[in-house]
Amino acid sequence: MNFKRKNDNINLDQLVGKLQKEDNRYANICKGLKVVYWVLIPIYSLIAIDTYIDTKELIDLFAGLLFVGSFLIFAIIMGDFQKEYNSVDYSLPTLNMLKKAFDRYKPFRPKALWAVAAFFLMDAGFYLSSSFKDRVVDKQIYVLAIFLASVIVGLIIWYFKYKPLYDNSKRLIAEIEGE
Amino acid sequence: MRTKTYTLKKEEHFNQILSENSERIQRICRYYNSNTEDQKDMYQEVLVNIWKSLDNFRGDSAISTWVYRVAVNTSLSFTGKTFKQMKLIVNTDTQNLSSILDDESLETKHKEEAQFNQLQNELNQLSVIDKALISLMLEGLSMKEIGDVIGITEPNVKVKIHRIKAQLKTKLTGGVTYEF
Repeated sequence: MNFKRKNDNINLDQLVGKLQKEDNRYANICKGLKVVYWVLIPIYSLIAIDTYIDTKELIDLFAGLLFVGSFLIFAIIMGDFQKEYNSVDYSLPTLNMLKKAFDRYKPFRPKALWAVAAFFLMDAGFYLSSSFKDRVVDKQIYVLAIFLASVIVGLIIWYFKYKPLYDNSKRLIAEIEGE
Repeated sequence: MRTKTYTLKKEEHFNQILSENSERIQRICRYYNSNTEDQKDMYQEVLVNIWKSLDNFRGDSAISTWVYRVAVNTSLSFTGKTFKQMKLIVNTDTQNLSSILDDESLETKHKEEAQFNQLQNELNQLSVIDKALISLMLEGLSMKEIGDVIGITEPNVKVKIHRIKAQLKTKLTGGVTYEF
């Protein structure tokens, strides 16, 4: 990197590192998770086929495909987040930027519904799979408890970390749009 | 190879923007921070955001307007400390300061230190958006350019600036309520 030093107070070599870090930080987390899901997809596909060959039960094949479908949805969601983090644009007019930020900080976004759908696909996979036949009701209670706990933890994090940002953006949008 | 060429071009473009707009960005940073360390932090943050947004520059607006957008949006940044501590700092040598106090009698008075301090205090009572509008006006941007930066129409900018001026005048002249 060969940035010119236009301001002696700023170490632009350090800045380059910061720029690259900022560019990649969030996107890399999503990219990592996306890769994990794309690796799991063929593995679980093979497991589903192998289980079907062993048991000759179509329901096992279907359960395996539900797992695969769930991973596929998660992989697509992570890819979408990766793209979103890579494309935060501070050069938009302030009002547009605020509206986009407001959407990003919403507690429930349409995208989250896809994650819920993926979660329930996985749950259905557990329910149908012969490997988890015992104590189905108990397992459903555990799964539901995990789901509710995840939502509650997510909301607590949102409340303390993102709600002030959400409220600020809402207030500023109202102020700009107000006559 | 293609990526390397792309990065070099991006660096070149970034350097060019920096060389042409460095002082402009520093002025905006000074409006919002009295502390030099905070000014430097904000300056760096603006540069980070310029770098991140560089691929989105399509040349639809002047590069200076684009830079102002990034600078103002950074000042409204939700994650940094700037938003919480944001103050509008004006200096006696700030260009276009008289554009706020366009009343002749007030223009004379603003030379007095006491009134300048009062003006400074009143400016800091303004809302975040009003501070952004005033900082752009102090930079000498036209109403249309301010509208392009903030994302509102030119008449809307005029109404808002008029209202801010009226508020400031009312407060600086002893609290007489201004009627629209």
